[in-house]
Amino acid sequence: MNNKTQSIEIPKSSGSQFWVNTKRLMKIPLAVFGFIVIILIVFCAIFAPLISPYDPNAQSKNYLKPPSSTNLLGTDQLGRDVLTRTIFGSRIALIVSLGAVSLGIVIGVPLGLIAGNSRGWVDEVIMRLMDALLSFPSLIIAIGLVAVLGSTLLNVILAIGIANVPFIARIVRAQALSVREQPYIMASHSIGASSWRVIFRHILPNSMAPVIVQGTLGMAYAILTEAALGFLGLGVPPPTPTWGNMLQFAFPVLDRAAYLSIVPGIAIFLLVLAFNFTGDALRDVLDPRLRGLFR
Amino acid sequence: MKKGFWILATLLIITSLMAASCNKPDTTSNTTTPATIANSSTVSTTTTAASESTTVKTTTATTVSATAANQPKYGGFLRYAYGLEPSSLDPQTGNSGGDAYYWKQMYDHIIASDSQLVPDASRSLAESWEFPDTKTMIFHLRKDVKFHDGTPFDAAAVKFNIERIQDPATASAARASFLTIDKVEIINSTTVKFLLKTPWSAGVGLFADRGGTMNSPTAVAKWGKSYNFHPVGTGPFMLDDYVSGGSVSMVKNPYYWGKDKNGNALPYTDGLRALIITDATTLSAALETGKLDLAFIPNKDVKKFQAKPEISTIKQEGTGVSALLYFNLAKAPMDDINLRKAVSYAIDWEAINQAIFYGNYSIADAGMWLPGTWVYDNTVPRPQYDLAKAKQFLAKSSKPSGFSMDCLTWGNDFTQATQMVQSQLSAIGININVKVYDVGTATAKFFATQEAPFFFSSWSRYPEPDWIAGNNFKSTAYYNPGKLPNATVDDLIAQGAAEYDITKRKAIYRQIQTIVSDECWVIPGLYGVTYCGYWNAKVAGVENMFGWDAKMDLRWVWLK
Amino acid sequence: MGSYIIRRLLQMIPVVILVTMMVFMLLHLTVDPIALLMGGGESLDPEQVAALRAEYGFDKPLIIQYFTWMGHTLTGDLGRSHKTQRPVIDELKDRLPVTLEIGLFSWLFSIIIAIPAGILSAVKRGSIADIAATVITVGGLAVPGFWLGTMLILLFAVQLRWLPPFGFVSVFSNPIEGLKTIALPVISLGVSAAALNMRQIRSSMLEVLVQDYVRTARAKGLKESRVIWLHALKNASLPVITLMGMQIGRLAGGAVVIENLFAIPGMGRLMVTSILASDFPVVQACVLITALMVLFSNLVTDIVYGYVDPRIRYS
Repeated sequence: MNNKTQSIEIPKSSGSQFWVNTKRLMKIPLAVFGFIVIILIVFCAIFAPLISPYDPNAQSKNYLKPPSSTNLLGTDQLGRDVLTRTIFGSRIALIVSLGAVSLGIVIGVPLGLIAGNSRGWVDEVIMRLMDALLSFPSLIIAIGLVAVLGSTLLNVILAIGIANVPFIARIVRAQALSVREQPYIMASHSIGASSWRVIFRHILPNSMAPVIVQGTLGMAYAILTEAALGFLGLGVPPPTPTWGNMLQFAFPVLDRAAYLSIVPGIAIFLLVLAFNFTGDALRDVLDPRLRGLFR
Repeated sequence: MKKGFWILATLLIITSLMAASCNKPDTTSNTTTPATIANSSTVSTTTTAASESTTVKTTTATTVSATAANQPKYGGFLRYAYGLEPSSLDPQTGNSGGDAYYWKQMYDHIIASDSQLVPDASRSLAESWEFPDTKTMIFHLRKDVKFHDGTPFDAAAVKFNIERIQDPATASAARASFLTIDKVEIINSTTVKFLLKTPWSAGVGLFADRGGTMNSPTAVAKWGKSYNFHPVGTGPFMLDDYVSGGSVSMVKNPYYWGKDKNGNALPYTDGLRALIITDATTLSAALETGKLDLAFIPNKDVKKFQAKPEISTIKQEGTGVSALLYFNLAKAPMDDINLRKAVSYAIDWEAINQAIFYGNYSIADAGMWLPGTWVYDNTVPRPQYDLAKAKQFLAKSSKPSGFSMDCLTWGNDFTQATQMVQSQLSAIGININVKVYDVGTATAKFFATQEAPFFFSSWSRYPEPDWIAGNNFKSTAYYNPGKLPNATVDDLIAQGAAEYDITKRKAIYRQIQTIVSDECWVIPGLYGVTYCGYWNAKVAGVENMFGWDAKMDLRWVWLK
Repeated sequence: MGSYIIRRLLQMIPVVILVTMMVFMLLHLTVDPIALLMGGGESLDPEQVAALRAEYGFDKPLIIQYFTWMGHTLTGDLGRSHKTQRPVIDELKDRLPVTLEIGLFSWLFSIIIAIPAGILSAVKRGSIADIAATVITVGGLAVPGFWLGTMLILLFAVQLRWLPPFGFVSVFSNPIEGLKTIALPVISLGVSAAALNMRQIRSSMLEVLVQDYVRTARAKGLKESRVIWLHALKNASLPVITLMGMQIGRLAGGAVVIENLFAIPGMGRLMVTSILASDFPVVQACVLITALMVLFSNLVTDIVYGYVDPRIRYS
């Protein structure tokens, strides 16, 4: 924010830079906290069947039993173990957020590159499309797409991922434009360097940092959106446990079994918090100029 | 073969006396604790103050025979709630069963029926009626009845309403059955004659629903398509204000003709305010905190409210086939009768009742006709939960080692219940993929586009058996997705619709019920039981409020 | 300035057209709406279906349907709900003010919380207050609004019974009852916006407070409160204004879930019920209005930005 002129680092061999950045990250306590939470939840997701006390879909006659020694976090309306379902829910949370962000990058990066590199009417069309997409609140896009396409895991990922596209495309385009203005790029054009070379040598590496930052924060947003979709009954369908659909079925019995609403909510909160911390720290380390630019 | 109406009516009354009586108020919690009721009535943006001036103050009639305590009082606004938004306030064009909670207060029927579906002339727009032969109906209309807009109700209005239903452009759910009426003839301003294409005993019962309501021809013409939310009937209340998603407010109809059995003018209250509250917890809280005078209690809170001295409850049985499994008889693998039987025997309905409906509901009998009506028959055998039998049928079937299929459903409760069915069926090797949609989409996907062999849904209380059989079991029926021709059943349905003798009708429907149950066309799971709670220091007269459709008719309710 | 606004409005036109196309295409990919009309619980026969199909123009090609819809929309006719036959405009007259009121109060809530807290934590950097504000910011950004709402219902409506758990009373018609009913939804909806604003105010203030003119103002002996409120805040407010403008869309999205949670009869709730019922005309109108509100608020943000920062010239 300090400075209007954007200084562009000319990328060096990035191996050593990676370790430098990692060391700097490890000095930020919140980032360390974020990493630990993410690693723990990823561990839970991968080894869910091993660490869970029960089968996530095993029903019993113990309907709506509060936490006890047999069910540490209680049981739901169908007598299923809440701890187990929360652990398994981390799988969907991670798959959906990773998938949605990847989709945003896979579509957004090429769009941004094309727009930034071609200018003219192609740029105009792409960016007006992105503006149009941005004018829909992302949750509304997601609700609309899932309602039309049907609520499957893939469609949920698609619906949330689409909302990420314009953010990524804008970042990459901005990078492309500013790189183009650099004297050395103009020079390399004048000596006949192909624009693809410019893209891969200069624009892409320069876009990496902000895309990673945006991607990490996008993970957090995707988790929140997935939970909201699930709560509205538009997420990944039951019996697959997701934090969102757990909250959906917990709400009608809020006054009888509050723990059903509290547990998945805390899980969402922790994971989103972890991604936010990590994203903020990455931004501080990789690209301080970006502070406050994103949603 | 001429059978006058009165024979039918007498038979109906006798059968209904024998039928199980419901609607008894639950007096266990009916103590006289004085309750202070918060008078902060508004939960919506509009106020009813403006409309009060339009109501006519009726002086309380002198006591005839009732004791002072039971003497209805006039005045006040009753606040109640319902969980579904109306699809229309015009009964003839709506398509949601929940609409009746709103329009019932604003409409009368050409022939109205009591809670057993026995016709009751004292509530009807026709003072009397006669059936000179099986294909003619003559109605003698009440004189001096006016619509809410002040226009007179007469024979021309009846003709207009019947023809409106028959017009495909109206898109009335009642049209299919009302096409039986070939012609409506106006004899004079208070006499009207229906000429029928075929004998139509079912018509008498059907007049007590959407099709028999009477709309003001003037208002229909005036509002056009917008008439849906500007309904003008002859009923005890008239629409004051509708706030989409919020409330339906009604005020007393100053022209109303109806009287109670002591000759007191109806309705008792000055108006009604129906709040649309779709969430169970909030609905309970609204009743509990006195923001509502009367409401159905969500299943999860029935026991809580029964323990409250200031709130009394009325129990209503058989409010619908509240858990019902449909098969598509033409779609593999459910075209195999052995597989349908295997499924039928593998489902533990009591477990579903306990987990999802808090044990409030009752296990269904074989039929879709519900307790408390003349056609109800619990002697037809039905599959009971029996895993050994389920496995036997599976072994006999085309897929002895199990299989996988989609099951559609809708709504929170049914989604949960379907997961229980899923778990129960997995015990015999049948795998179910649960697909959840909203009610309209799920219904369309199962019945219209036929995308799945299996559907967890429900059917609301509809005692006229021809409506149920004609809509679900006829080979051309919308709710019979396979549309497999079954000549025997089609023939029985035609016989049932034409037969004016009630005992013979009952025998015919028993035959249909037996075939349907033997071949597992549908599995009725649970019959609904609902509890209506009300503030007993404030509300009275609720004993008579449930109609044949188990829906509230609030003209009988008064405020202390 | 005037020509700038006109140019911005002209630039909006292609975006608006793209928005309408997206809305239209998305919804027409779904099931046959007439099949849904049939399945609402009671049946229609084929003759009735054909009549309806012709009436709604579903028998015409998509492109014709699009232009018909656009033509009607431009003349202010938003059509009728398939489900209720009510004119969509009537439906919106009931629903839109509710959403606007909830949105407005959430927005105000986010500002009223964020400005003092953001300034305080910037001025007293590193203090307990700063740490507390930061923790709340971080939490506010990570908590799902609807879950926060659930917890607030649990505490204030179910346990303490201080506030109603549902419904809507307009503050403008009944201030006391109104504030009580909208308190929980407004907090649930506004908390993430408040957190974002607070973070932005804090970091912009930190930047501004070390600038020369602030030091000069202090050196001139101005009262500290005057320095902060007049000199620093005005200059720190630029990025905050951008952020606040951008939040309109976020609030509109969040309102969808919050209105469903609290059973508030607003446009967000209408949108969800209509999407589920494939009630095209209503969904189209709601989504279109939301998108237009977002575009419009972006425009207003840009213009306000110009007033606050004279350095920006609209050439």
